[in-house]
Amino acid sequence: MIYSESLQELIKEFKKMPGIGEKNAQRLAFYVLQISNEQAQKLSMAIINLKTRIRYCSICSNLTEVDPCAICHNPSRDHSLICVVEDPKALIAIEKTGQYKGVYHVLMGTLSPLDNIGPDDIRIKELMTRVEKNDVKEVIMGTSPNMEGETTSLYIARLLSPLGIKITRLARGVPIGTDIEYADEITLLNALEGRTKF
Amino acid sequence: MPLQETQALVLRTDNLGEADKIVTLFSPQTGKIKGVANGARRPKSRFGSSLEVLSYIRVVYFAQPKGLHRLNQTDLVDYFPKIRVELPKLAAALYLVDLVNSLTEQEDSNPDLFNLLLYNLKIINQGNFEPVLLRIFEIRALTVLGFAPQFEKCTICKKRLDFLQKNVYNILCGGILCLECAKDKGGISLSCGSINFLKQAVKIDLDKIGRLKLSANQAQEVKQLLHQHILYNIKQEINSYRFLEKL
Repeated sequence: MIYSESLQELIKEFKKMPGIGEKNAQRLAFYVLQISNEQAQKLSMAIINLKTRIRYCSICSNLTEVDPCAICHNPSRDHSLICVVEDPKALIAIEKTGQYKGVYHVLMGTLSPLDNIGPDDIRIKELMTRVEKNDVKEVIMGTSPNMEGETTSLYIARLLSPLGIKITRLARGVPIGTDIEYADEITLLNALEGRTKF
Repeated sequence: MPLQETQALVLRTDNLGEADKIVTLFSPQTGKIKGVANGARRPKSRFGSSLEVLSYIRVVYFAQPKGLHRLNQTDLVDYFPKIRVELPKLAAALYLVDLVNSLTEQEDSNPDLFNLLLYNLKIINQGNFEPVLLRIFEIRALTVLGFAPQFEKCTICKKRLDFLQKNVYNILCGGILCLECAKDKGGISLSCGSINFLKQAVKIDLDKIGRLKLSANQAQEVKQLLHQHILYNIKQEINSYRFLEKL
């Protein structure tokens, strides 16, 4: 064994993380080795705190330390407007706009027929219960514009349509700061179809 | 590393690392191939939206003697936009590409199967989707791949069948049995109408498949038979079939 047992063990654990290969794992392990004991304790406590304190919101399934989460608990948010997103990362991306005042429903995944991920594997039932029990006026489909996201949106829209709720989806089009000549045909087609009045 | 160019349908994509994709393509020249598209998940990727499942593309790639090819450039030929806005159409089209992916081996060229898949995707995109189309696709795909059930003769004693009586399909024998052989082996009951449909579905010109009809009972019989036959041949479940059944 080239490394001591404890160093080898830490490298092995780092390698399990997404995007971390052998070299990066070694680099991180040597970084941990050279920091002070106090810093190492802070790092390990941060990981333990994350694992013990973070849970899912019982209403929207967002990651939170208090249940319900700050968004669901906030009376100034519009609770009749629900934006359906795939995961907490998508929720954070929309929150960063600072303009959305409704609430969210995090599905914790998307439907993927090719991978056998069906409606029972993500939080669609919870969304339906929430919509049926509360006075919801609009549901915004905020899933990604790929095959899985589209399948999920179509499936949920099909379940919601008998309830007479307004169902909308995020507009799709040309990203800001790019040249139209480099946009692909599908994006441009969607942008043309979803054009808005000046 | 020779540069190859071909047309292809995207059967599936799998994420690789932070921003790459492994793309499974089905081409008339090379059959099923797998390639890496570097940076395909980035918003400003040169591949754009062309590597979505169900896309019909022209692709340029560096062929590798072993392992995954390297995709260099893609151009979109058809996106089948109407499939992507109706759930029954989308589920059916996903089943077709999933079935082709399950039934085929890599680098095994089959232009007939490619044309069949492309034609069916165009039909689903253009018109009203009918489940009978899936049954016609299944039997024709099995036929071009050499897995089709036998309908003309008893698969055991080779006696010619008249189909005027009760018919029995035996999955282990891969076809219809005469009444004598069926006594020992058993199997699924199949009406004459269902057998005639399956025989016609293989022979009829693709542009006339809209003429083939099935009653509700026959549709159930044919669906069950073909599904069992496919599962027996590929020895695994087809994921998208379950989703299709839940709709």
